[in-house]
Amino acid sequence: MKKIFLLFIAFSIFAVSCGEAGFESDISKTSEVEYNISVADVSGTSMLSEAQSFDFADADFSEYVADAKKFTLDKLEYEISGLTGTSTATLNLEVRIDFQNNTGSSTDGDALLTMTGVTVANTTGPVLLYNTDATNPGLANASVVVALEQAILSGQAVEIEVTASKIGPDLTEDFVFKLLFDLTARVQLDD
Amino acid sequence: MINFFFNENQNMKNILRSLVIFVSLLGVGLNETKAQDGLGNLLEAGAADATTLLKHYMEPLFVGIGYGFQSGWYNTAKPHKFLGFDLTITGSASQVPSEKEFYTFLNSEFENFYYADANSVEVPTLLGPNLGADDLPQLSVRDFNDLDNDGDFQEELVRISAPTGLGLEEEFPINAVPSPIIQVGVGLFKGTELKVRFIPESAAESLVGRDEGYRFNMFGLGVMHDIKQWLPADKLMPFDLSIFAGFTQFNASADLEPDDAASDQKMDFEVNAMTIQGVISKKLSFVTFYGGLGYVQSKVDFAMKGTYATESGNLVDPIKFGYDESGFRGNLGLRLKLLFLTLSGEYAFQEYNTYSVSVGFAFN
Repeated sequence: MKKIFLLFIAFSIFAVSCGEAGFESDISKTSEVEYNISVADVSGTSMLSEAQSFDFADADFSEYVADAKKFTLDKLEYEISGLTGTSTATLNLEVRIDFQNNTGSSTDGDALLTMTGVTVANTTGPVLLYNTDATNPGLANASVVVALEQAILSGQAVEIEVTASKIGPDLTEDFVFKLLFDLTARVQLDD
Repeated sequence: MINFFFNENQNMKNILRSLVIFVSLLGVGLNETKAQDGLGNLLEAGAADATTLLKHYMEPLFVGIGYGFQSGWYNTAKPHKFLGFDLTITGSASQVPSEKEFYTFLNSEFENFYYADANSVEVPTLLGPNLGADDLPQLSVRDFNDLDNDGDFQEELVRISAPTGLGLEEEFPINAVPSPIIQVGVGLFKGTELKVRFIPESAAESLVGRDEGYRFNMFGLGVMHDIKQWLPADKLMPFDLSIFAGFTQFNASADLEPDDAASDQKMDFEVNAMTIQGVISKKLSFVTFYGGLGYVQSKVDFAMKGTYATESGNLVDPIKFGYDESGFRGNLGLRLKLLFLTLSGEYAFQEYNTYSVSVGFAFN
């Protein structure tokens, strides 16, 4: 009797297969890359120049990168925090991605996007730089976005470079500049 | 950067793996990776949210099993003669109502899960359609309790696709939950027949290739009594007429950490199904037409017991939920008897309409 019972169950287990879509899941997280900006870097006519090596897959998607079919950069935002006092300075900002991960230089990557007139003031929340909304494609270089997504899928660390020129009076306080990469991993669960 | 959501991933994988095999033991095929789609890391969202989501998602499977066990009790209204007996094996398939292929995810029902685009969204159940990630709503888990003490109570920790369904309708003619039944009927006296369903405590080792602590058993008891004999002019009635009452209990359990003797983590599943019906049948040569009308009630309970480590602390016996179902049941069937061999098919009208086929041997 037991064997018959088990045969029935076994049939049920193995007879079932999934539909054409297979079993997919999107897992979305926000990777944060933080830069501590010193006023010395942006005083006078000097150019802010910061770079960090970052491995998105390892930092936030280590459990899923092996099963991921693709990554999508949904949006890129920034936040400014830690600034005491007030400033009327603005920044002309450029975010670059160095796919060679050459930490020896902070200006050798490919330009992802540029923004002018970024106010140097603490933000109350993330400020949108780019998203995938078709009605608001943002300012990003599409080919760099695709290359970044492919690099993440490959588990490749990249260097994220921020360069900026200051407009207006000098800053007198350090602050924290944070880039927020909202990423989605499309995972195929039944491969 | 908060990254706790997946820190207990290995533990969760064990839970999911066990859940999948556990659910498979109940007769529905899944595999580990399929279930990871929507069930992953449930406990990290909190016991209350995990319970609520799982209860909605699993409802058609668990309730369907309850209805499935209402079938297969009889294929004639004529009880065995004294010491006559039969051995019958039945496979039933409880059809999932179309409205049970989705459930409404309400933000107000959850503490940490959150659907950002509206207050509610339709989400497939386990026996709903198999949707691609583009067609599934993404559910957020937010740090409403500020676990990282950064003062941000709205921080989104992760968004993950709502779990998809198995999409059985793409592969099979009906979207149904199977249930197996084995029973013996023995004739007693005065037109009374006792029916017993019994599967002793069994391991699922032969299914998964190793003993990982999966166990199940079944016990059921039913009585059929010929009431026509008590009616006036019963000899003039060209049919058989009985009343039937039966009860089935099915238990399954799984150890979630079978390699860890110190672990107390396990899953329990219990089905209690009760049937009371009037049964009528008419035999024409080797063919018997039969039908029944009555009331069914089922209670299905599921629990995850033991101690589970999460980012916010240990959870003890975190998940427990159940379903109580009851209502009218009518059924029509046909039995063929070829010497001692019986073959029968039946369709039951109830909330989860159920098909069943039986094969058995009957003597007297």
